[in-house]
Amino acid sequence: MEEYKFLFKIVLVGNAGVGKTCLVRRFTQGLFPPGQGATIGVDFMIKTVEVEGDKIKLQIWDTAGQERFRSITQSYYRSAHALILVYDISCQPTFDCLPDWLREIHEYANTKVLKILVGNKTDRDDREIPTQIGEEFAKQHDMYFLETSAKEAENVERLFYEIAAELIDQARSKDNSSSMNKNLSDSVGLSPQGSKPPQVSCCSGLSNQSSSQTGNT
Amino acid sequence: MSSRNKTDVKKLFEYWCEVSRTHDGIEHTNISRHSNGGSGGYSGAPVGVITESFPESFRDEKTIHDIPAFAFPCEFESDSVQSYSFVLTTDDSKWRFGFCRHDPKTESTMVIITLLPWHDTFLRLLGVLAELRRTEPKEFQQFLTEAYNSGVPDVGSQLKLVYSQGQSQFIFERPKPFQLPSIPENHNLNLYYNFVDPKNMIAVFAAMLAERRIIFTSTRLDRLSSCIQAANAFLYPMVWQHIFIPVLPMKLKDYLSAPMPYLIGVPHLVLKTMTPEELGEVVTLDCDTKIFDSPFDDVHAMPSEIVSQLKKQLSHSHQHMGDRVSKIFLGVLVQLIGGYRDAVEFRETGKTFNRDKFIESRPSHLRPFLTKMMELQIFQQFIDERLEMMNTGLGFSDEFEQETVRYAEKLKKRGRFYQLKEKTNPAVKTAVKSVKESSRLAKHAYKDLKTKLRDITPPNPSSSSHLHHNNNNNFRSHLNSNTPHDRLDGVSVGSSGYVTSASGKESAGKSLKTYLGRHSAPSSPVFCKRIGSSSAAVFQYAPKDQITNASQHLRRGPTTLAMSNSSTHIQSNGYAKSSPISFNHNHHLASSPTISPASSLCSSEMNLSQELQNHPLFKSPIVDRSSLRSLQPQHMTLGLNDTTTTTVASANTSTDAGSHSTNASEESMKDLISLDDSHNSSFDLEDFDPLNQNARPLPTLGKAMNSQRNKSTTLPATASRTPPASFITAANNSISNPLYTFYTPQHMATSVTGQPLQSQHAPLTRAPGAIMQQHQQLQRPQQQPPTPPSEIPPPLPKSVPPPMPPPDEDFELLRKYGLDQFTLITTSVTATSTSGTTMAGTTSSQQNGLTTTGMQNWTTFD
Repeated sequence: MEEYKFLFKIVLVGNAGVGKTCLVRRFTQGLFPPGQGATIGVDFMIKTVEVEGDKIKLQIWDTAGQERFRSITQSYYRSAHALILVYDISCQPTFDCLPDWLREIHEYANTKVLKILVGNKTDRDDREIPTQIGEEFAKQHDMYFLETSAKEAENVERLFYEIAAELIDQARSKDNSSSMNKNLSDSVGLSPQGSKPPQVSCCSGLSNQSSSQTGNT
Repeated sequence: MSSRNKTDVKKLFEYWCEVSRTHDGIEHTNISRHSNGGSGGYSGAPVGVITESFPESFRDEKTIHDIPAFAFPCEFESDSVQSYSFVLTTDDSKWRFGFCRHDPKTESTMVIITLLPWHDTFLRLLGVLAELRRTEPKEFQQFLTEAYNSGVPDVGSQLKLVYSQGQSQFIFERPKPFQLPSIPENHNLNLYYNFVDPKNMIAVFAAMLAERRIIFTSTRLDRLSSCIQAANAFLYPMVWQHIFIPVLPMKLKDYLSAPMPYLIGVPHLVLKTMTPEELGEVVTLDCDTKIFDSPFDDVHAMPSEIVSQLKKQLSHSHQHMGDRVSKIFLGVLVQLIGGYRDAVEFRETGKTFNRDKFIESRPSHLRPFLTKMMELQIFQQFIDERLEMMNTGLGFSDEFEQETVRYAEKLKKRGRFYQLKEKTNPAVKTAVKSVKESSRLAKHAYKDLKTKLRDITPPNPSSSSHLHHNNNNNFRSHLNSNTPHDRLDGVSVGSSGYVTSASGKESAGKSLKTYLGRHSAPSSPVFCKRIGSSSAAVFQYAPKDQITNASQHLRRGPTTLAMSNSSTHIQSNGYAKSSPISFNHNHHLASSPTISPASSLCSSEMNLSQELQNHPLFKSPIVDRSSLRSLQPQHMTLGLNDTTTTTVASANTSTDAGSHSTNASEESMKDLISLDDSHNSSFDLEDFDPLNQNARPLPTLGKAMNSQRNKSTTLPATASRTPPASFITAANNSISNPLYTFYTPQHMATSVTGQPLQSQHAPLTRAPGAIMQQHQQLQRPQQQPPTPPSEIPPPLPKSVPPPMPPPDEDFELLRKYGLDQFTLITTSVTATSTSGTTMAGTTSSQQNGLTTTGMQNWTTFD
């Protein structure tokens, strides 16, 4: 078993066709694989990254076909450490749906879950959503913001590395604060040899990087 | 139910293959999809290779690639043939099924890939295929090709394929739409039922309604996949919308860390490789050790009424044959979300569902849970689908909708009741008190009542038309007791006192209070004693160890009946049980499925009065006639009149009745005992499972169970049809029927009050049969069934030559509508009343009237 210090679960949400799966695959494999799909209705990619000397295992979950639902409900987010909300910069409707997605995230996800807004498909020249609009929306809702192109591999690495860094910050600050949130214990800090107890992450919200982000709750 | 099943399936199956196990044990044919994942260590995962397949045209590489892993998910026990299934999810989130048959001798697994969720058919087919392949390889190919090219039979039709030179045939029958899984026909449910305790079933159900991450584990693959499938079936009309993997191959074990809800069957070996940290907060059910483990308390989060209802109904294990278990869970969901139509709003854009409106329209004790439930993916998907059907004008009426319609009437009343409940509480107490006193006066009053009531009794319009059925006295007497309502049996005797007294007190039109008063009956101290007399013992709710061997068997007798059939009564009662407050009331509603459209339109007072008048209690003489009349003169008087009549008759012969029934029951004991043994001890549920290779042969019993209608006397089911079995039926009605659990106290009450009454006022303590007759009479006004479902072919007591045995189709119809139990109960009643009738029969004068009524009921069944 590969050694890693933390395991974080990341879930992608957003309308169908915004390129969630491509984003993940670009990140995890660096290329578009032929559509493998998931024969069991869910798929995930794993990528291990190293942040400040710690190996971090990122489990990025992509539920095949789930977006056919008009809404993804609380249970979907329940034990994720980070949510990546994706829209297509060349498709206004996918941006218009963001408030709906957010409402549910705010309502159901752990309030301190890390939220990232991603405008995908910057390679397209028929942009409909100016970067500024996206930025502002993210600011309003205390989210990170990033524009990416899965096709051009633009900002994809950065996206996930920043998430990893943020999560690990949260985890460490959690580590220091003695009060551990037990019900998040499945936000695993795994130590392969079991030498370390699982560390709770993601819920501390004491991130240095984004006071705006964590201040929302 | 089909939201994740493909609807436009053209082929019976897509692919057949044989997967052989390779022995190198190292995964090389199956490339790990998550090589990055670092979840190495697939050791212990056997590797399968497809050695033979059909047809060649099947080119779904993805599926073909995955088959070996699912066919050999891990090392597993293989001392005998195992049949299991897996599920692959298509790109559009539909399910594709893989049915497997693993033969340890050849170390190979035969797999059929299909989009049809016909579990039992395909598992059966695999058996035939394996046999054919072994004995007649040539014909095997032919058979397989024929099956592949035959297409899918339409609803209601079947496809027959012959093999073995025409000596055998295999029938593909499309499962009836909306058919609930039943025992023992449904292999999945059989296993779930066998290996998962009711307590755990409830826990799993609750966890599913909370959309947890749920793991079932077992060392056996068949158990695993079947339990997962069966657990999902209990969600009907909803369908699990999340990750659904009945058998998880070792190589996919990392999916267990999915952060979203799932229902996954994990072979024990696979689960062992996972650390708790990797699993996170997961609900686990070990199907082998029956250990349920959950970090949540989802059962507690459910409305306590619902939980206790489930517990109660599931504890009556002897009644679980047929679709009873499925119906128990369906009943809960009907209670919870059955009223969704009340919150459907009509907009220009189409019909929409208003959550808030829905919550508000529900009883307050359900609201917190329902509020949470609104957020469930499974619920949203359910609503979306129903709305879509409405918006597209698609008519639909499945088991769920039918249950809901049945339940709706009750809900209305219950709503009213809730509002009144608190206010009337003091009145209730008063009513209870007065009951005791008033019961003493009953005797004196009833004669007077009888005459007066008779004067106002309107002629029964339909009675004459049914006179031609009066074949003989004996028969007539049976018919008399054939009404569905006699289930009330003796139960109400005790409570009648208070009800009537209450109504007398509140006669000034406060019928509602009276009504409420009845509810308090179970908790009344009056009900905590037991009667000692032999005849009364019929209704006694005694712990098993306290009753005689004979009575035990008797009690079980009806069980079988109940198992093979399910009734409206049971269902409705089940619902009623969920809220103790409403049980009486629901019961009455339930017991009058024949309620005319007109009556259902009545004002609330009218409804109440109807119920009251239906209630056997109303026969009690002490009732203030004027008040009753004001409520609903016609029915009241009718009922009262008949009741009184019966009462007299039975009162005269009550002693007779007691001895009669005792003797009769003793005679029948022998049969019943042996039957009971054969059923309960010698055979396990598994033995009834057509797919269970280990099943022992079941000579007659098995057939009987399957046919459900076997007339043979040796069957427990039919045993109760014999007149001597009156005790059984009585016991069934009042005791072992899970629906009636709430009645138990009343029952006791009956016995309790009955005892003093017996000494003082013979009329009130008459034999059960007579009581039943009373009930029938009471019900009579409503016995003209306006709808087909209410036309129940009553099973006839053995002693009576059945004039027209109910055709199978009718029975199926009844089953569909959940009315068959109705029949059952009727049967039991009939049997019970046989003894009662015998005695009642002595007073021939009354019999004429009774006969007419009985006849009337009878004819409606034709």
